[in-house]
Amino acid sequence: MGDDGNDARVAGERVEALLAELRARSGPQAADVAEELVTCLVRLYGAGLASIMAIIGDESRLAALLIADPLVESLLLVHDLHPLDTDARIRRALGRLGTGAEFLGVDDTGVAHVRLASGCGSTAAVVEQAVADAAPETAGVAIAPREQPLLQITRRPAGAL
Amino acid sequence: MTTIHNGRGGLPGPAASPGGATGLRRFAAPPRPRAAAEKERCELCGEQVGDGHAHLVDLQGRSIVCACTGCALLFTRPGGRYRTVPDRVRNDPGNPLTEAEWAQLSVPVGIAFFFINSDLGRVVAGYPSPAGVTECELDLAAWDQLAAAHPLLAALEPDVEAILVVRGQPYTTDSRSAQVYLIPIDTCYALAGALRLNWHGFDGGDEVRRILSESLAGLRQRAREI
Repeated sequence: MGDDGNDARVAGERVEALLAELRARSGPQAADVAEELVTCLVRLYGAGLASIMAIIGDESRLAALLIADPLVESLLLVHDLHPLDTDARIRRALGRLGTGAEFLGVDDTGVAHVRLASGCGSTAAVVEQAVADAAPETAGVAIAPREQPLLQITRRPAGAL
Repeated sequence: MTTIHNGRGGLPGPAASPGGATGLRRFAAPPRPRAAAEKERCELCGEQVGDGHAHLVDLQGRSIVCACTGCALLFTRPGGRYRTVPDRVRNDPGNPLTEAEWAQLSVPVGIAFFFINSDLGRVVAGYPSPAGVTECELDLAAWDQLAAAHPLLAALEPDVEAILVVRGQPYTTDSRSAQVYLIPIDTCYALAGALRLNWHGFDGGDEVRRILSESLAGLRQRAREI
């Protein structure tokens, strides 16, 4: 994967674009049938993946190998079959960003709460996207206000060196 | 790690997943309640229609089709393949059908409806039964006589309206007169369908009597005098 963009997100976007085209050209009824067709196939492959994960069971070495492959991981996320739980995945994703954003937990409504670190590059949009990718089952991402930074960077007072 | 793009832009459709991160998730979800998708559609333009949508009579196919408001407005005048079913309900309490007049029609049952089939150029009488709507023979001369004496019957629009006649207790307090309504033909078929589905035994049973009583109560409320 990677260069050819062959992952669940790209496929999902392509499917949506094609459904939109069909809806525009052939009307809502045709598009609804196509929706059901896609659902049928996705659910079949999902059921197959579920069986695979059940067969692997507690073999954590195999599970780790599987989620190391971005394509496989993206498909496991589509079907809620990822071996890591929601919290673990969000922590892992934030850790990969390396910007020190802190995961505060997922609340009852399914919203993931994250506090941004004060470093640069830890923008809300990037963090939100990373959490949404790692845990698509969450209902959204709430960014908590930054804690007061230890060092306030201000303009150099006039006349100082 | 995967490069992060925000792929949400331009995703169409009401069903696009809110997260958008993995768009295929919405297809993997447990079977969606199909109520929304299964909603009835206008059979002319394909637009989704609500519960209280209009119907058209397809005069060529002799069938009733669902229609959106826009299409229904197009076919309110006679003269084409389709004709919109009007939603008026009329009665004529001051000019009831007498037992003697009913007897002239020789309809053997207590619930019957009449409509003009413009294709055949005649009045067709039907009555609900466990087998659906059963047509019965009708003395046309007698109908014409009745229509001359009853403006309600004369007001019947061909193909799209029906005259519903319900006689006897418990539907009428006076056993010698009948309840007569001018009703939309789709209402008429809906009633016949409901009666058929719930028909038990020889006379239909309590459920059929309940449905009929409720329908008549509804018609009484909707009805305006002709």
